[in-house]
Amino acid sequence: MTSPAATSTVIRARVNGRDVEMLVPVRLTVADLLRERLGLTGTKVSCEMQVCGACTVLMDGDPISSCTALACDLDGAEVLTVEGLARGRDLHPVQEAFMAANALQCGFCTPGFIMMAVALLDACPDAGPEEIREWMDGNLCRCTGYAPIETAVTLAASRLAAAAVEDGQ
Amino acid sequence: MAVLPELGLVRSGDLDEVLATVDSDHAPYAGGTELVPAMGLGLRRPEAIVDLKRVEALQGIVVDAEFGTATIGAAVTHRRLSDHPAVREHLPTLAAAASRVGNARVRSTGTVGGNLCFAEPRSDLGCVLLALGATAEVRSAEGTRTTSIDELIVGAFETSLTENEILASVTVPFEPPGMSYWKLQSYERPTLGVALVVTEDQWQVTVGAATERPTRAVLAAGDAAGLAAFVDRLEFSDDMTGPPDYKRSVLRAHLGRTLGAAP
Amino acid sequence: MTAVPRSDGWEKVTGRARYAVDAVLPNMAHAAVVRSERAHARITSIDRAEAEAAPGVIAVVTADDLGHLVRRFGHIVPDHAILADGKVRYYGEPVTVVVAETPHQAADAAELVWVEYEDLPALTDAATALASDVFIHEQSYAEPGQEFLGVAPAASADNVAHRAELVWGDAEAALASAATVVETTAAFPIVYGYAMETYNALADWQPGALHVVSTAQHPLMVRNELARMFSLPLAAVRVEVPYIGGGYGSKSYTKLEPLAAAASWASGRPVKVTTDVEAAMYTTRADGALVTVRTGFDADARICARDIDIRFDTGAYADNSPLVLTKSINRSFGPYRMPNLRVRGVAAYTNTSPASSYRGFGAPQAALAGELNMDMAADRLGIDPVELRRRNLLAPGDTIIEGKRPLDADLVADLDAIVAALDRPAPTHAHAPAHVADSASAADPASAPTAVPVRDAAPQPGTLRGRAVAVTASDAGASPISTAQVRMHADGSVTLLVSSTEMGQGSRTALAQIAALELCVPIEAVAVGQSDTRFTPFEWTTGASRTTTVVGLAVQAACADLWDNLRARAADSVGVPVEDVRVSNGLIHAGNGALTSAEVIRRWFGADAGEVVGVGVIRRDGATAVLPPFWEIGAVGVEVSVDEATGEVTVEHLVTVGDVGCAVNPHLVKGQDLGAATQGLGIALWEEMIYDGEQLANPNLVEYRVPRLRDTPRRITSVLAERGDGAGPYGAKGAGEGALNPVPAAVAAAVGRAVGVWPTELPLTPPRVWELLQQAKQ
Repeated sequence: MTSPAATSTVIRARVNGRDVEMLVPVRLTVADLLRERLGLTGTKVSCEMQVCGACTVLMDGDPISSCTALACDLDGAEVLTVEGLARGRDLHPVQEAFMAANALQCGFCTPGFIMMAVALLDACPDAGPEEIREWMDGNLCRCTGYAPIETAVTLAASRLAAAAVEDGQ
Repeated sequence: MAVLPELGLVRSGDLDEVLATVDSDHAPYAGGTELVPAMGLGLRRPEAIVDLKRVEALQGIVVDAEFGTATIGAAVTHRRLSDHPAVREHLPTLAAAASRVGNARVRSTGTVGGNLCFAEPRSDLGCVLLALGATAEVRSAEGTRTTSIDELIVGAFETSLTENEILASVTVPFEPPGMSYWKLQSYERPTLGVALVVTEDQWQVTVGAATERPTRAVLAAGDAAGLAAFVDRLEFSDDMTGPPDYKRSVLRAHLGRTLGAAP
Repeated sequence: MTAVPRSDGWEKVTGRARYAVDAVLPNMAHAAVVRSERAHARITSIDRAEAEAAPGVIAVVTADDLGHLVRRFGHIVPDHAILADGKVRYYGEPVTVVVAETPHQAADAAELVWVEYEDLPALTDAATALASDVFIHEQSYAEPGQEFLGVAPAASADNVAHRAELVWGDAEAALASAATVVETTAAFPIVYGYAMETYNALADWQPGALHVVSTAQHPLMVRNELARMFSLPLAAVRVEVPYIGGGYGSKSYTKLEPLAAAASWASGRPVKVTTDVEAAMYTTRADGALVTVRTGFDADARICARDIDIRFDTGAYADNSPLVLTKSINRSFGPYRMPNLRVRGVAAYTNTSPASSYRGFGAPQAALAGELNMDMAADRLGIDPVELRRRNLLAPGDTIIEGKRPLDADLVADLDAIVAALDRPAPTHAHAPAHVADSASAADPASAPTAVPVRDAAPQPGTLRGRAVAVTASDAGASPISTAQVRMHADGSVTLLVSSTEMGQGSRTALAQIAALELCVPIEAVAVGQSDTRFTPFEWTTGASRTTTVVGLAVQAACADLWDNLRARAADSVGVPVEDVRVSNGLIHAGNGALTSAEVIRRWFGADAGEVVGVGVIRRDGATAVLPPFWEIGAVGVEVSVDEATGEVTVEHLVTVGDVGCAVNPHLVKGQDLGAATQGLGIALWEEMIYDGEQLANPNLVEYRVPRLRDTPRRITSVLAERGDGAGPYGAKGAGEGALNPVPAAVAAAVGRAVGVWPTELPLTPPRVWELLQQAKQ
């Protein structure tokens, strides 16, 4: 090879609706960018092997493991984190459902579960039990025993479906 | 938290430029689902990563109804593969297998090419693609070659690619009738995968995940002795998903159930 | 009582909840820890010149740089070096810490520290260590009179971290004359608590003061240890604990805090130390155990004696394991009538990561062999296993251990509730999620289980079914030392100060409920903050399922004290003797009028201002004079199916009985029960740290498999038994560990019944169950 490759790069991205332009080291993960450079500490890091899902954020609508995704890949992308879900004081229906169904205890896995549920219900608004199991099985929770989380996602799905009917969709 | 080592980035939309760059210190990079954790653990230490995602030529899914094939770019993600209407129509078993790889996050970023090139034995796609008789197009600055999946995956975490080559695409014949894929997955990755193509006169059996690389046998329908010999010949891995005897036993039970002939 | 929503829901669903890993301080530096690549070796040299010269590096710290600091910690045995001092005792032990401006720079420089070792024989299992004449610790750390909760450190250097026994009667003689003797040996795996937030600490040393933000469950215990190590007064050490991302006992006592504090001391900067999952697995895990139980029965199938041997694999440092062993002994023989008993326990040092507290605290280890033994005995005696237990269970008020609190639970009724739930046909429902949450209350037999759906009932071809129950009783609650403070403001609202840590169990919610009830204010008028040793009052620990019971009593006492203070101020303001002031329905009657609390405060201060404070103290006195503060009951039933071809185990039905006296918040109790039982299922079926050499073979979540959503039992019945029989507020007793303790044993027995061979080790992974199926065929 000729000249050594650049170890940092400029990215322009939209994070929770806010335009971000910054120079990032190539080795910087999306989670570190969010947590350390943008102060968005709602995204949590745990297993760092894409198993636990605590770090789940949406990139162009798709759920990703932000702990093992590189920030340099965000150039041109839109990112949504747990901090970007609520509209002012109004929580997203998935957030409300997690509170209503007691689907959290220590809360460390909660942002990741919520983002995964949002991704699921965006991709598959009529998600049934099997879709919910398939998508949510990729996140770990050590406190709740999962049953309340499944209930919360089911509840959010039915509320979103009801809202869609009201909107005449 | 694990911290990645200092890393360079080569990013280009031009395949030739990418091919001119890839070597032992410049690792092809697409979804990063395998490479990034491997770098975090210190198992891989490239000087730079060469981003393949912006190369148009690696991104397509081209369906040729006349020849009955689909050509899948190496940088196509599992999700795009499994959601693609023509893939679901003509390659339903492959689409279903892709829809169950890893988890929803891995499927949004992980790519077909990355899956094959990392050659993790405990995976699904290699087995299904081998069963389908897929071929791989391998590119380098010197040119292009075509290889079978069997020749591409040569062992655990080992492919026949040289350090200057990348996998560009796989071309998959449309799924034949009588195909199925079953897997036992007790852990994060599959313990055993079995792809079957069963016709009136032929049993085609492909075993993956439990051996260093996927292995295929083509037998006359009803050839229980041949099937038994094939299963006996397989060298099952001994790892945390189970000892070889266990995997052999589960495979026999599955084949007994599905083929009606206990091997 | 009332299932009010969690007070931390909003913060946690919006990502605003703050954890130690999120903490920052001005001018903060970052640490990277160089960890041992040997299980047992002498350090011959550490070359750090290259690391010191690397960009951004502030300090490279080894044991030699710790000056006058006390270099070892350990609240029972002070054996644990902050940084390996001359010798490493497990793979992954901290050897050097690099402090740099950024995490990247710290990590890069850590790769430039070169450590040379001279290998010593690695003793990676308890049997090898106990038989070896190579010593992991070449000295004893015991000093005369030194003890913690009645546990004195072992004074030898023979790889014994602790040894203890519990004896009454003559077990040997009774076994010799017993009609039937049944022996069981079972191995309990080495497991990792996997709190999703790993161990994290941020420390800021300044002359005469130390400030730490960490994931510690017991901030006051950590404060005490840091004060000793840094020769500071207790008041000069501030340990702040924001929300904890899961604890389960694994964050008890001191972990990373001395390392972070020493790094800050050495570098003169606030320093943050974080761990990844691999480092967390090296930091603390639970004790593995090999337990043998021999039980003698008379001709009526009544137990005449038990003889139990417990051997712990405790790892390289003692941490809390001596106490865990002592508790394991107390919890090993079951809540059964026991005329003769001999339990002997030994905790062995090994060259593996150090073990300590984990949910259940020795009970699951011992119950595995103990309760499996009851099932094996039932078969031998030709009696139904439930009937055998019923015949031997202690009654309410019976003595379990002489001198301790008599049994404060009705175990036969709990057992009946399990059996009733297991026998009840699965409710069927049109919309079927994966699993049910049946719900029933034993106190209210009329309340039918909520009809929620189930997937299947009939056994599938190719599967085998088994069912089992198990019961445990744990001397829980730890030391009944707790203080609480309630500050009532001029509008009658309340700030509750406690040092209990909130790690998901919902302590802030439950304690706020108690304060609201006692002070007759709405729950919204009670604020509970994080624990911070500078501001919140003394608390022993947040563990041993003690918070609702022991801290709840302290909150009640603080509220009573607040009422007294309000009465005194009302008397003063109105000008009547305090004896004439009475309180009813939240109003203070003084003279001719009735005043609200807020009115009393405002009138006494003569302004729309001021506050009145109540302080509550709990010690070994009154309701908590006799230890333990309560017996924590574990009572579960499971039904499993086993796939004959693959050995996969599916939990068809899980029944938990939360025998909690009074559920201050039923949602929280059920959350604890299902969460604890799920961790029990993980141990039963999947979890195991595998040492097949000097190094942990599965130091990550890909290969250390924990329960996933799809593993959730197909049907769950959560029963709450509220008989008001606890010493806590409103008759409450603790929850949190009880529902884990019997689960590994129950699953082992159920799988044993399904396949026809009794398991001898956990976890029952598919290949292991397949092996049992092969044995059954022979």
